[in-house]
Amino acid sequence: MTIRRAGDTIFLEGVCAVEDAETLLQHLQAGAELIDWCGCTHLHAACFQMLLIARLPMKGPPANPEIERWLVPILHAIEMPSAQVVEAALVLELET
Amino acid sequence: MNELLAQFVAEARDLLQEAGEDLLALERSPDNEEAINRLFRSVHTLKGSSGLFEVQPLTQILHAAEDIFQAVREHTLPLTPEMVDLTLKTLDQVGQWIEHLDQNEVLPGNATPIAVELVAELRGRFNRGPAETLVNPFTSKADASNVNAALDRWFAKDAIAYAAKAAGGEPVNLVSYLPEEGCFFKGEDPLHLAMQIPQLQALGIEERLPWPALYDLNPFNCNLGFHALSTADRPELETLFRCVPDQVTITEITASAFADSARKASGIVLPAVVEALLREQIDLLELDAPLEEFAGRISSAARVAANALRFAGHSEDAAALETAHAESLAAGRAEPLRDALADLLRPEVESAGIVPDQVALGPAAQAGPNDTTERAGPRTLRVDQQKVDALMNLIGELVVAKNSLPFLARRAEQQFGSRELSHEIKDQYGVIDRIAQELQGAVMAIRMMPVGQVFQRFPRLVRDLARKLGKQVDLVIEGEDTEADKNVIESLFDPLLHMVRNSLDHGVESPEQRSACGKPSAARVKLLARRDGDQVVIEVVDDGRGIDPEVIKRKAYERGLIDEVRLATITDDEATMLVFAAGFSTAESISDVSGRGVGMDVVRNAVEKAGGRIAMTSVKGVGTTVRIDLPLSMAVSRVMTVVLGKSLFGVPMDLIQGIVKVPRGDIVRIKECEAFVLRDRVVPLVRLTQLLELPDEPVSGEEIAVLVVRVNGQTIGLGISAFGEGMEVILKPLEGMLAKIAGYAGTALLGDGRVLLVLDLKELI
Repeated sequence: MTIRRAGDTIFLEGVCAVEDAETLLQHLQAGAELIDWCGCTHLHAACFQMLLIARLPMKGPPANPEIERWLVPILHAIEMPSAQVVEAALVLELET
Repeated sequence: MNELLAQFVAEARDLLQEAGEDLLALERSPDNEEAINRLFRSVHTLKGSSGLFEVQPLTQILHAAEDIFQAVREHTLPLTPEMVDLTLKTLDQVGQWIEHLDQNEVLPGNATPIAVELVAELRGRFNRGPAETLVNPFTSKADASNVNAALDRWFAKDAIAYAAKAAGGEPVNLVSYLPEEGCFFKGEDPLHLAMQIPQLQALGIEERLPWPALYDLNPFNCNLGFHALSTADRPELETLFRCVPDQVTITEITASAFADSARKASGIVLPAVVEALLREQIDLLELDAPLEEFAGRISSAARVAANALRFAGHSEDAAALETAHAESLAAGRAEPLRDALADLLRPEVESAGIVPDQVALGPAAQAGPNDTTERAGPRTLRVDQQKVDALMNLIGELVVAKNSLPFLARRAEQQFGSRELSHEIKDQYGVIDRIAQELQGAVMAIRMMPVGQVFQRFPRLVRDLARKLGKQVDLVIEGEDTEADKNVIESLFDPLLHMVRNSLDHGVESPEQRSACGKPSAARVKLLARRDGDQVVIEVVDDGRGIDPEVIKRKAYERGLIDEVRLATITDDEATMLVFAAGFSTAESISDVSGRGVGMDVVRNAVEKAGGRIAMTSVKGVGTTVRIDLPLSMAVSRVMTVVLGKSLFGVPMDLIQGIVKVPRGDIVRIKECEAFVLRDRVVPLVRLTQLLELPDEPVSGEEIAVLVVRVNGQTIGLGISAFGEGMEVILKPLEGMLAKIAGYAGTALLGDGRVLLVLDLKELI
């Protein structure tokens, strides 16, 4: 299992392929506090999308140095306005 | 209007004008490297500055045009006449939008569809490589129109600096990879692919559409776009993306453009307008100021500079500037603020410190910023015309006030018997008079503009017209440096336009006809300007078929402009002048170029309104010359004062042909009209009192004073009671309620405070 959940933490381990995106989404929809990708060696674009939307704190560094080199700065730099909109919408939906 | 926008509009007008000229020059001689370089630079600068404002359609069409010019510059695309037509059309469109911006501060509502169409046309017809066609340039996320904007948007500042360092002066490729939505189902992993880009220097990822809420999210829709900077060669990159060529754009960013961006990323490259503003503030601070003005001056400089910086998106710099401002105020010295400003304007030095390798980029890296400093360089001011007009009015008042001193001197002598005081007043008057005249001259000089401002619109016009009419025309312009008052220059365009149109339509023959007459097939139309005393002489000379006086006479007779008697006696020269009569046209049919029979009449009116004269000479088969004489300046008019009873009137001096005293006995009555004989000609005599419907004056003396004036082509004697004197006045048109009163050209204030009404004889008679 490359994607698993323990408490409020979602773990990404090994090769996170395209089919794992759905599992990841479900965990995110259920609500989580932290994503741990220390064991991640490959991340499919579909999974990375989820990380972008989730905007959760990431525990790293990931096992693959390429991922660390290119993707960590992007996740750090997330200021995407629409991502913030998503969060705002989320809160609203939780309240209703 | 926002100051930056106003500057942009002004700058854009100049750049468009230059670009138009260069384009035409380029069409004539396609090898003109200088012209294409300048053209490219103008369009590039314009596009760059337009990025400051919300005018994307404008930026987009400029970008498309820029691409074409770049291809032309690199000799990968030959310049065809069709292409010139299309790019001229693009520049025209930009010009229209600039005017719209000037009026409304926004682009017209239909700008986007127009831009889409124009860009499609530009790109469609002259596209260079397949890669560019494939990505719709209008998906704003993928829009690479502005390299700087693209870089800023997708990459962090330090990433750009890092990439610049890695590039080491070599061009960098910007790879934009926009995978399709369903790519996951094809087994693609766009992220993996993007990370495999050879020699990847920076990677940016964007969401293509705003993310939906988590609950609505389909995890298998790809919503990512990738932008990468790579120093790898294009073929290498193309190989990597060989399976998805239609989803990738590869744009080469030249070393200089990239160095610009890198520098901008370090926050110091400012738009030219902002830079110019900052420079002005420095100049202001460097002037010595009296102590009491010091604080105000520092504060205003700081305020202007900070606002400009904020507008350009450099809020931190603006904040830093305000700190420096506070320091300056506390220290009572301008230096802290001045130095802070100077630091902002020293991009080369600073960026060299941040990215040391850039020094090695050499001249290419310097080219970018030089563009902007060149434009900020000339020490010219753009001043609102109203301000100069206000100055002019004040000087007018000064002249009036000054003119009251001789009255005072006379009173001092006659009323108070102090000859000494009178002399002193006269001396002082001489000094003030001299200063006032110099002041007047200086302001006049501000208002002076070279005739070239009007002439420069003609190459384009003549080209278009000649193409439309199927004629070959070489336009020669001489004396474009000749200067005249702005109003005079502006009043010149319409008459010149009519004359040049007439020349091309009626004067110039078709190439076949010309060859048959033994003339070169390309006609030569000359626009000449020169200064002649206090007049500007403008001539439009063509070597066309000329005017046949017989035809003119016949036409004029047919149209009832002259009667049979006149037809028999009229000289050829006088006949030529008939083309200026209202309702005259020799053209058999009305074309959309000219021939409606209003042209030359309008020309004459416009010229006369500007206080000028127009004359035409023509030799059949050889050509036609139209000559316009215009005053250098319209601000000061010379008038002759005329006393009627107790009132004083002015008659414009340029209408007056002479003054005579006519013995009462020599006045002949013809029915209810009066006339007298002047140099063997019968001249009708009109009493000014009758014209103005004033009560007749009592008969006195043996002679009557007559002003001989030429109005509407007729010589008329104006009977008055006494001549006044000639003087220069600043004529102000009647305004408000008074504007409706016909018969007066305007008013002027006299030195003794009286108001002089200047007559408009053309309306009166």
